[in-house]
Amino acid sequence: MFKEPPLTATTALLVAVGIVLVAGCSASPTGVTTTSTEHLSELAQPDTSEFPTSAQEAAPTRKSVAGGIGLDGGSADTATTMPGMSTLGGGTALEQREDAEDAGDAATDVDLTAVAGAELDLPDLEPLLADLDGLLGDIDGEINDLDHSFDNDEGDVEE
Amino acid sequence: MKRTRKLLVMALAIAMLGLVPQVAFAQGVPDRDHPTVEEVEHPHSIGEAKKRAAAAIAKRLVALGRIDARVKTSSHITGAHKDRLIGDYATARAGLSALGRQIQDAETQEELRELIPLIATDYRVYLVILPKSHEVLASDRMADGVVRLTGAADAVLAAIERAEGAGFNMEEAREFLRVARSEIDAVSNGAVPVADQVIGLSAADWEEPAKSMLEAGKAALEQGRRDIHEAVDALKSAHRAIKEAVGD
Repeated sequence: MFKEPPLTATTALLVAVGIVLVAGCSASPTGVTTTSTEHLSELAQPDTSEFPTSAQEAAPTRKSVAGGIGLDGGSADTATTMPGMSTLGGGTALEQREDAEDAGDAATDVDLTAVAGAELDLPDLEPLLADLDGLLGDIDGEINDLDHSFDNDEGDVEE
Repeated sequence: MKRTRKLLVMALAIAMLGLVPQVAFAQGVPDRDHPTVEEVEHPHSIGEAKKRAAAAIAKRLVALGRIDARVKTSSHITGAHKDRLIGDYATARAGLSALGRQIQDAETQEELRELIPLIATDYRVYLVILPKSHEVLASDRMADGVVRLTGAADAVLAAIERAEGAGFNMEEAREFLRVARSEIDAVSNGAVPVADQVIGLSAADWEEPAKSMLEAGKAALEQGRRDIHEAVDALKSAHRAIKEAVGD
């Protein structure tokens, strides 16, 4: 009877720590420290539905992939120290660095789409296409003159 | 009775002698010493005919001057076409001017009847020279249009490829571009060759083959105008599709 209270307290403490750890990992992956690498390895499992094919590599949807890689806190060096991240690529430090670089490229691609959007705002095409309206006007004028020349025999026949 | 017959024969002979000048006119033999009845009864008809002929020539010279200036100032006509047309105009002007002098020097209706129709038939300013000139101008303008449209299509393609490189779906834009290129090809194959087909036509080719060729050229150029309008519309649609795809 005398030892029951400490046992209960210890159990309660362990349960509480467990809950805090589980809740902490699931609610905010970025808040996980290097001491929680086991949970990280689970979180870092790639979602194949999101993982881009070669054709999708540059698509804006890569944002989600980049976000996943951002679990390392944005540091490629840190990522190489995380065993769980090996699921994204090779297990070696080099492979992981390449993964991190790919991640950087993906992030760059996303940025490029914004740049491309600005470029495809097409300031070059607008005047080009407007110039074609002038071409249409010129051609309409030529054809009208041609029509008129056909309507105007001015007595070439009668005289 | 015999005396009456003699009088009738003499009257008939006198009447026939009076008809001699008219017979000479009917045979087309000019004779200044024996003016025709028409010349005697209408002393101003030759003058009037010369005046009308001079006006007809002047009108053609003005028309040739206008088209000459138009061709010379055109920035789209090819050098070879320009030289050829300007040569045609110079020949026609020189010929019409010489014909005008001949007409003014003519002294009989018969001469005028031979010379005046040549104003039309030897030059066909209105039936051949002007229509073919406008066809050459329109055709060369469309050739220039093809160059500009091709440049615009290439620019649209570059934009499509950039957008595709960034991961955007450009299928719709590519389809519009395909339509535009098809229309541009149609202009290249239909309207652009018209200039070379008709530029060699002369008055001697009237009525055929000149009439058929000029009408066919006109139809090809009108189709070319429609094709160019459709090409421009397709390029604009491609541009819109690009902008919509990238959310611009």
